[in-house]
Amino acid sequence: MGKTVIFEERYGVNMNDFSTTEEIDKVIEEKMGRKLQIVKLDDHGIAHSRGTVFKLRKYDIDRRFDETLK
Amino acid sequence: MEIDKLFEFYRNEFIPSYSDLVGYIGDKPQQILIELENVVSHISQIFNPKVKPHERDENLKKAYGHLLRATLDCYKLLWVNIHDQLKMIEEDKSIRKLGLNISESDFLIKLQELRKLAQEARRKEMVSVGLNPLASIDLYKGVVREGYKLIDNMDENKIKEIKSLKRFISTKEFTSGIAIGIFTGLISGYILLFI
Repeated sequence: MGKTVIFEERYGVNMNDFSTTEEIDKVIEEKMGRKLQIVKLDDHGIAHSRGTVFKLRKYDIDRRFDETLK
Repeated sequence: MEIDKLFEFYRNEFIPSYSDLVGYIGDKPQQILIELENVVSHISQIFNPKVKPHERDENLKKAYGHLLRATLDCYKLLWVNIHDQLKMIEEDKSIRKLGLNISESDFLIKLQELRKLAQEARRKEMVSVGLNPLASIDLYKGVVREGYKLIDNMDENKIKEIKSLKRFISTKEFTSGIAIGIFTGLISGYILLFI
């Protein structure tokens, strides 16, 4: 299992014990004491402003990433 | 490509990137879930008896492409999130000077180095599209690792004190402004009595 950068250190767990997102969610939810919410990290999301969600979404994350390089 | 390889990638690369992102922000980004939905759609086609064998291979490739994109997106979103916090420090002179456990110049130099690392990861991704996508994953991971280390230099207690001091100063300025306004109003009113 590839090692994590933050997760194992922050939550005191070993990645070898996990193989699904459901198991990961459970650990985080237990530590936070609440259910995880679905969020849209990019405020400039185009999903609601244009038609096709998928292609535009990809462009969006790359654009947000590129903005950090300026 | 075999389907086993796809799931190996899911366990070895995607799950760690997902854990880092969700574990850090404390929520599930919609963008990643949409990507996973696409992966499942293509995998279901591999097991669809109505689909021709060559189309199954195509679907496997597409499923892998979406999973790879989801993995890269996890690290990119994580970097964007970490960068937002670093930028907040960079733009706040008092936090930059007093709220860190390293010197201001060290912080700024490291931030510049990080941006170069992020640029390199992006460049690697662009040039290795379809060739060796795993190479850019390691670079993105490195960017996140170094960014997280730099964030760790924030001294939460010092930052709290700075913010509270700033609030005190702005309240004091506001109150002084009102007091001066009332005082000058009274004086000018008094002077007007003699005109």
